[in-house]
Amino acid sequence: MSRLARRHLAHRVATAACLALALVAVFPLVSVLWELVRHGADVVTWEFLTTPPALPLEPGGGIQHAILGTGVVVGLGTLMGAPLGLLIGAYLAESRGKRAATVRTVVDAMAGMPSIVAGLFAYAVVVAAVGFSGWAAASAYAVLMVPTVTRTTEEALRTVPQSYRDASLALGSPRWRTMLLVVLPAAWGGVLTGLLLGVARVAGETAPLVVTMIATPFVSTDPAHSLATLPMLIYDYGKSAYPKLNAQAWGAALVLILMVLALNILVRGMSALRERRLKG
Amino acid sequence: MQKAIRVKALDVHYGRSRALKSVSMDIPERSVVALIGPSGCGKSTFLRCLNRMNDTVPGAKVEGDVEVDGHSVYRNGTDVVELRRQVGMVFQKPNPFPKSIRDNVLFGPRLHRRMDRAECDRVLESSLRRAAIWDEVKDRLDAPAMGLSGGQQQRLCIARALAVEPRILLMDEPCSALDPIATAKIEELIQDLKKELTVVMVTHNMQQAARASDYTGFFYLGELVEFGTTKQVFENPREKRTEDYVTGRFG
Ligand SMILES: Nc1ncnc2c1ncn2[C@@H]1O[C@H](COP(=O)(O)OP(=O)(O)O)[C@@H](O)[C@H]1O
Ligand SMILES: [Mg+2]
Repeated sequence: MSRLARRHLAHRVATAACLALALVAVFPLVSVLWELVRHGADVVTWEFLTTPPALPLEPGGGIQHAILGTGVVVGLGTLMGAPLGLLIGAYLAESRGKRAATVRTVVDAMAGMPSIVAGLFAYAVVVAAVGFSGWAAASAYAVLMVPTVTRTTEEALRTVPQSYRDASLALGSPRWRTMLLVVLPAAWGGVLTGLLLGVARVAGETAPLVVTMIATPFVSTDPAHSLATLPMLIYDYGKSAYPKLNAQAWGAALVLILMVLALNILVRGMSALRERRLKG
Repeated sequence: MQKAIRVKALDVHYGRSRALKSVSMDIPERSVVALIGPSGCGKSTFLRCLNRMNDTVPGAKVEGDVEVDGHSVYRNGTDVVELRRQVGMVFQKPNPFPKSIRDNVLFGPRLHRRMDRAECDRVLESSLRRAAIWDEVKDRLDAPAMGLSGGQQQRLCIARALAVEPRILLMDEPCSALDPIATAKIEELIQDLKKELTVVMVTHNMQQAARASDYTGFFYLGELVEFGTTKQVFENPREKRTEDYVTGRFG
């Protein structure tokens, strides 16, 4: 066999191997999605999304209360956790030395924190102060979100070339304005992706909800009280004795996955658009 | 003649290594100064001392003093922001922001004052004209700066620096990444700029130094070996080391 033919063969084999392994890697993801679609697709109707729950033995009823509640808790959690993560990430990206190293270690340790611990923290601090509430659940989400947002923000900001910072500083821009006007915008796609990863990290977390709110069938968006949420609803309905609720659990799980997926696609699209506009 | 910059016994350490050894230099106003010398002998370090860009370099320690327009730069209480407005800088590699041409030029002025639409347009046009790039970009001011050629990007960076109306412009090998035509354009531009401001430029190109500058400083291993009019340094150097370098007989 000639050397060229051998190289072609090696190329084909390597390509095939990569493809095979890639398929193995996505198989679990695809099969989870497939199961959800198989069991949940029939349940998810417009009515299912927009009506409050009915009694277990009555037909119909939906998960409007859980969608709204998840929206409120995730939204509030993001409003609390994301700015904190952004600030810490920016600090880590722009400073060296012992203090930054300490902060980084603490954040890394936080990243490994079991979600139930975040929930218990919120229980001890927020539930003790204001009772079982959306606020308490949102604080637990915020705590969980901070490490993800911090690390992805830091990494995104670090990819911004030093030459941009130099250019800005040399024009007489203070460091904080350089961060705000040059570094952050240049890394916006990455930072946004980090935020999203943070949201995706918490959106399906169930443990922190169990200790900070009490399951409720009522439609509400008031974080001062307990709210229904998708993860808690899936948990409750999934182990319920009523077949209708079991089926609705599949539907709710499909909705939850699709929400996270939609968020991902949205941000991907946005950052792709931005990059095209800037690179010309 | 009025001095734009006075450097007095400047010493710079990076950690424990000494990058500049007691350098003193008086730079007259509205002149072009070329800094020459082999790589690693402290030219960039010297330049960065003039607008305190060494502040952000970890481990850098500066001793001695620099006066810009009679004001000490390294004394406590110097407003670095104001200093850098007076002393602009252009880097070796063109480094436009990933923004539009317009936003690049207006970045500096907008930092320092509020500007209405008309003023923005005025500053934009005059800066781009002074940097001799207006005609090439006037029809695509909102296009991304990254889409320009290397030579255009460098002139855009010069326009961006000029937009804050500095009295002094520092240029660190501004042409080393450019082709000969772009280089010629920038040299021409420097001659125009000299009418209004002082230019301090690092270059590895002897012809460029001889052509474009009024004064030349030769750095070697952290020392300023010789500083004088370009004519004197090139035609009648006082030091043997300078002569060897400018005639190319040097390692
Ligand atoms: N950020 C830095 N940290 C440590 N050493 C540096 C740094 N910048 C420059 N140096 C050292 O200082 C000396 C002078 O460098 P530089 O001013 O860049 O020289 P030139 O511009 O003449 O090539 C060199 O020996 C270089 O290794
Ligand atoms: Mg240099």
